Amino acid sequence: MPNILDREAIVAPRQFNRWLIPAAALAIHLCIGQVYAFSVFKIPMMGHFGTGEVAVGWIFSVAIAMLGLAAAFGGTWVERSGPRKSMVVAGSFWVVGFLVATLGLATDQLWLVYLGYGVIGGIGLGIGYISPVSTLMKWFPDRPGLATGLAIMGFGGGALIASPMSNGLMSFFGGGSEAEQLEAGLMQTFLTLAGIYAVVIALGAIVIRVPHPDWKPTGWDPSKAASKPMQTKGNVSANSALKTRQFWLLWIVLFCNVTAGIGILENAAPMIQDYFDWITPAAAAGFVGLLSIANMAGRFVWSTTSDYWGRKNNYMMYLGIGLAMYLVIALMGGANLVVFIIATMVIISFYGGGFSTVPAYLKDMFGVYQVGAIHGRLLTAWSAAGVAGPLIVNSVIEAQAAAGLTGADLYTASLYIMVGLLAVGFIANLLVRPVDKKHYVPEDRVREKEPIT
Amino acid sequence: MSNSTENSHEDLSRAEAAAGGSAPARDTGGPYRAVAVFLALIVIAALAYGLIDTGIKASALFTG
Repeated sequence: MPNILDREAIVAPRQFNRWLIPAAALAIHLCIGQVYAFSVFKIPMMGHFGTGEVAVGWIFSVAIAMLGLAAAFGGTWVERSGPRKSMVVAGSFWVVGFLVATLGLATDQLWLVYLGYGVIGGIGLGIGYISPVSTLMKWFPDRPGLATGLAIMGFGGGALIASPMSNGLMSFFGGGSEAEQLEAGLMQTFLTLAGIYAVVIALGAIVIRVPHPDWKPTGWDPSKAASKPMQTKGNVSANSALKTRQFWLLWIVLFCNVTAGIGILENAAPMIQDYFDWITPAAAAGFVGLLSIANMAGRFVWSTTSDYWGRKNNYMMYLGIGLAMYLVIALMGGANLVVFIIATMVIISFYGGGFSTVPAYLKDMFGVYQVGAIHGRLLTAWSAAGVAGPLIVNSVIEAQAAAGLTGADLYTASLYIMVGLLAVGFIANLLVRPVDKKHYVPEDRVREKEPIT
Repeated sequence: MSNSTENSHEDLSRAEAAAGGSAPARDTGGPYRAVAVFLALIVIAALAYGLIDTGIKASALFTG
């Protein structure tokens, strides 16, 4: 008798409506996507702990670093344990992280917030990010791009929901929207969010199912699907994948695409005000909101189109057109607001699309056998880009400012660096070829796992 | 591991065979569907809330 958390306990019957599954995947991604809205806590926390922006900023940085590490080291466990157990574990880490951070707020111990939200919550982020992705791909073998787009769209959407909800909760508990009032409502807001996330992730874990071994989508012919040129017919293990050229080429592709996106995201509000000096702070905040929508929409739309165009072609578009858009901003971005907005929105939609298309790209390259674990290891590129992107952009801007440049000129050098990075990513993507058969896992080892997948 | 997975497959197949070959074998009946639909509604409502709120903020870019 399998434990209710085990993979064997959640095998769906042969006749099952697969459209019930995306909501379960979205549920956990919408919850953990809150991390992108962490900035709403910055000023209240700075007031609460009487500290500066850098000290509070480290909470987010630790969480993202732990996301990459947990995804890389926990991927194999997630793959082995199945989606329900990994969702429950991820949700527990995420919620306990909030509770420990609340304790830190109550006792004025900032280190407890680093430990809670940063370290413990960050582990929940990493496991939660990859936990539903490979399951969704197994439910949608005919449209893996749509499947990963649906799940990872939630991570972008999480911030859209958490940002106004957190502000609303802080105002409600603090009795108003002044800085001191938001600060006063901080602790209750963390507790409330922990409760909401516990319930939603638990519902997701209840609903999630893995497909029956004999199930396949109506009218879908696996042999026909596997005949596409860039799709492998075999399966590669996570350990073997690390020894392939394809894994590292995709690592470079993801790193370049994410770094380029961060180049815009990191400084979106000051950037638009430096390019157009008549833009008000409220309008700049509106621009940030617009980019968030582009990020979320890109995750779903571009990943879905990759089912038709092919993953490699999609990345050609992300990196090639992204490069052209960066050039447009560098050469004529300050001339026209509409051109600036469209170019930045396209870049950010490609940034989001890059995240959601990569699991399907990995499935094409390495098969579905341990794609979750391989995805987890590839996400170290995200962690590296999270460090490199802001470092490049901020140090170039500082150097330009020190040299006496102002306005749009502050950004020109960093924009050209991003053009170079995207060119490197474009070439890396061009070099991606199907994986050599020598890396394939023997069919009997794959079959061993099949009854539970 | 292979034994346990094979057994679970066999158990599942037996359960299905007993129920006519295409049993809704596990807990995927009415209560399950109710929870799944409820979760889908929560997800849709939350996304709509986030999108509308962000859309209103984004409109400030064009209105001032």
